[in-house]
Amino acid sequence: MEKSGEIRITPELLDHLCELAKLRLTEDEKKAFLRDLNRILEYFSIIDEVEVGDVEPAFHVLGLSNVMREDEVSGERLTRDEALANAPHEEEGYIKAPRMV
Amino acid sequence: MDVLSLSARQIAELVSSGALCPTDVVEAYLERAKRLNPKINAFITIAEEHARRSAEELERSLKKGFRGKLAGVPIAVKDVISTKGIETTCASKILKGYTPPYDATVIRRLKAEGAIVIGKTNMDEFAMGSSTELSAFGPTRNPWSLDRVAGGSSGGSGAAVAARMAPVALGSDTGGSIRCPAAFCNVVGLKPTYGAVSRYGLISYACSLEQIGPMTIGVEDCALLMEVISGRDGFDSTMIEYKFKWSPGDVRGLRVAVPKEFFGEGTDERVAERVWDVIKLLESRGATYEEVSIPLARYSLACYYIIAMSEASSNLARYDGVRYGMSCDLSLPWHEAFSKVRGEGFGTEVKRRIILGCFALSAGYYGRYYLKALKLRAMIRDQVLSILKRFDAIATPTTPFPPFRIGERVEDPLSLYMADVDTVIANLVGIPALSVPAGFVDGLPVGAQFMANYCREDLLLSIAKCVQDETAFHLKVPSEVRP
Repeated sequence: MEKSGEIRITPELLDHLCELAKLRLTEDEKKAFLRDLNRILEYFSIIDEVEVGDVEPAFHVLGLSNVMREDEVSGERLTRDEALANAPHEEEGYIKAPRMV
Repeated sequence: MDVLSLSARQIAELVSSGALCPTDVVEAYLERAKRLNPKINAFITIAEEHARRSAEELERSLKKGFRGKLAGVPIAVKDVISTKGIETTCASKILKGYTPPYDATVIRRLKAEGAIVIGKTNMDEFAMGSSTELSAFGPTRNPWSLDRVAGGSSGGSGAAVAARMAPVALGSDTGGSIRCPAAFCNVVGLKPTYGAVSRYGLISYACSLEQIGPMTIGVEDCALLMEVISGRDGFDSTMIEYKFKWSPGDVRGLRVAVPKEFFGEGTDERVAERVWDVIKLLESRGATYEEVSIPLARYSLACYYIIAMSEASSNLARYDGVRYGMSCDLSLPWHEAFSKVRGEGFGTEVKRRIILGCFALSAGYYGRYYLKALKLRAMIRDQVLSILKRFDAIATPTTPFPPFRIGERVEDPLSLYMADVDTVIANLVGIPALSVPAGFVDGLPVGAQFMANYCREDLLLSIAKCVQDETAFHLKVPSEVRP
């Protein structure tokens, strides 16, 4: 898993990542991104120098987890109009989204 | 009385005692902000109407006996913090026109003490940057030299305070975004302990790293703001039990660690000298120092960027042009509609970080990048905390170089990331860190950074107060914007 060996973002991998991230890039952007992203990855490979073994990963730096509260509505509430006010398209009190199926 | 030279504390006292009228304060700052903004571009929005209305409301409350720690104090707020009824864009096209229906917790607390939001400040888009050049609204200019950057990502807040367009400001700091512009603009900037200040209403970039914090001319105002904004909030489950309090103490007997990794190659010697001057000054006031080593510090920048980008790729998934901001094209199938609006709405650096974050989290690379970075983060944390067992504070430069020219680094992402090389470690560890003015290099401000153990903001402020009292750097006003 942590063996080195150069990892490069190929045009195909970039297309795949853009599909996952839902980002449409122009051809010019793709060219520039391939160059920049690979330079950044090259810099990231510095971490290959460190043997981390089975160190506990720091998901929360102070180790907090599962902070619970009562399941009650509290604080300010939004009216429907307020909740819809920023939606670019609305219809009959609902937010309108593009066709999903 | 020259309102523009008063501290926040003085404004609040005079307003509370009836010696100063909130409307006069607000008008003085609005006039200056409007006059200087075309030159500095510190504000994305100057909230003229809101500020005037708030001042009138405050006048009525004062008549009924209201008193507040920040009564009548105008505050500039980074445009990543939600303000009810005031457009909040994150300096991104994709959020243009978004008006939050609620206030961030920090804003609610400031208002409850009588503070008045006078505008939303410029920043790198979604707080991703170190120069405030990566804004959809153009770069902020450094009041000390208009062809140079103000630092980032809270560059608008730093510049606004430095140019006295607001007495105090809020920034946010994910990897140095408060401290870098504080250093570049000759102001004080504090990144609080992780979990000390509520992130509710802070538009998320990298949740495990970021905190809101104050940017001010003087140390006392920094403490005052921190006192108001910190403390438990039921709307942020990552917070710790801690209520900040500070009474100025002296630095006698304080043990300061000076890690050599932060003064070596890549650090401008003149910046290092200014920081050493500050350390020697503390020594002359009774502190002691020792040179130490944090060997893992050299991995902190890569570790930070892997984590920040990973979190960003997940956090920024919410921008789809459906619920707020820029509209997606409803005639397209959903995946094309989303890809198009995101492709057009996000700037280049934001897209770079989303893609790399997506990569670091994806099957086959997760262990090598994201998980490894989290393990490395734990190791870096333990190394820093072991230093802080023997020392009260760690002293470093805030940035390795003075403010650079607009355009100088922006085409090369890695060279821009280097601006964060001294600051990211505090975010990885979650400890508080502060930048205090350390003097000038060729007329350009530079900062000294101090870090301390969790919840020891009080130590950082006492150190900064000592530096401030001995140097008075904070009283210098940039000649470009002298009244």
